Amino acid sequence: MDNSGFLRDSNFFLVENFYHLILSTYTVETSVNDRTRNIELLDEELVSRVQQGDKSAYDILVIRYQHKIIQLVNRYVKDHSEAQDVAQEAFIKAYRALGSFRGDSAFYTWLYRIAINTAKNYLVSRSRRNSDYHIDVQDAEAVENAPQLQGMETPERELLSEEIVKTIQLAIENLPEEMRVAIMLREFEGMSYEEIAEAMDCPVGTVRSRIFRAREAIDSKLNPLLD
Amino acid sequence: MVEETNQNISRLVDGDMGCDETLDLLKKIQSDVTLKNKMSRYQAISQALKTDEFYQVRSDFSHKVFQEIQQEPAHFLPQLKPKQSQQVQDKQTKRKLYAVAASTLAAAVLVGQSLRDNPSANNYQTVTAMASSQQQLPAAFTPPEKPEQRNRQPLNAQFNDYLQAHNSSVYTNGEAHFQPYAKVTAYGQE
Repeated sequence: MDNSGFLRDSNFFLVENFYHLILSTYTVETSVNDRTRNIELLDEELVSRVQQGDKSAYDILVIRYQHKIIQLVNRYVKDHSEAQDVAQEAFIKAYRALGSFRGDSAFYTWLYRIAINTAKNYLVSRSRRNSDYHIDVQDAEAVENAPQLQGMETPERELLSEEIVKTIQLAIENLPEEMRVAIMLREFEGMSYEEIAEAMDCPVGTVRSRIFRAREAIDSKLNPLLD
Repeated sequence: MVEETNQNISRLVDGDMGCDETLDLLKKIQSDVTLKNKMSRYQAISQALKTDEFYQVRSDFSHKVFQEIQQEPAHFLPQLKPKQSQQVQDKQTKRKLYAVAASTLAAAVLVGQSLRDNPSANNYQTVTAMASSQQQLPAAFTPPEKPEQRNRQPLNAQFNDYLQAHNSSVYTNGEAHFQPYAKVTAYGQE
């Protein structure tokens, strides 16, 4: 029996599939890279507007990055309320220094550095103010690792946070299969919408809709706790 | 409409939007507290799933920053540094230089190609034709000679002598129906 035709066909099938895989990976990566570049361009445009005196453009930048910056500061300053104050200070400092921003790095990278420095300075000044901690702070790096300064959360706040996290986990378990998979691939695996669409074999629009509905379902479960 | 906007906020949180879409949505969010809260809630949910920590950004966060900025004295207003514009100018000058260099190179290549395409006999004919036309000019039309040209005269005469001595007859030994070497080669190829 001559299998050469079958082997040739199967080889062709493998090569074709490999080609499609490479092509789709390249397409996904290209679209993600294009989007990242677009976002950088948007930042550049907003920064340029601020440098020309448009303060509302800076407001847009604040809205865009507020959560990321608070999250970053929260690694240093554990109290959420204080972290938000420090983040606000970082944004104001960044605005004052924006005249010297030359665009050598991305705006977020530059803002990120200012936020870290502001958080470190805050910890140093707080340790100097508060003599109860008896910490001789030489530099900000040492303060970073001081657990006495980090665990500033109130017990009530911690309890509420735990309850919220449990509610979110329960809400995810109760989601329909396709919504749960979509949001888990997004949040836990960090996959892009295009990659999720490939993995779930559905259009990108469906992925957008599933992730949005999953978030809405979780949000509705949180309302009683937060309102 | 509200659902569509909320879905777009969900996309914004995941970085799934293009430049223009993002800007339009951020402008909408800027002027609507409900949308700000929605974005903050989605971000908080996303973070809670990743880090088991839940916290929401205060709804007046950006407003407070904006208020602070409004109170900034005039000398704190960010200005474009002149050095930046200088850098832009330098870049433009460099680009112009590159463009001129590229054009020169392209012109050199084209001239080289055209010279290669034309047979050497043509050049010879052109040069001899030019030389003979100079010789045939009537005396009335000859421009008055300057002292410099008078000095060059022996050189031109030498040049003419060279051209006459090196015409095709030299290579054919003056025999009739003989072509110069280059022409014979070309004929053989055909």
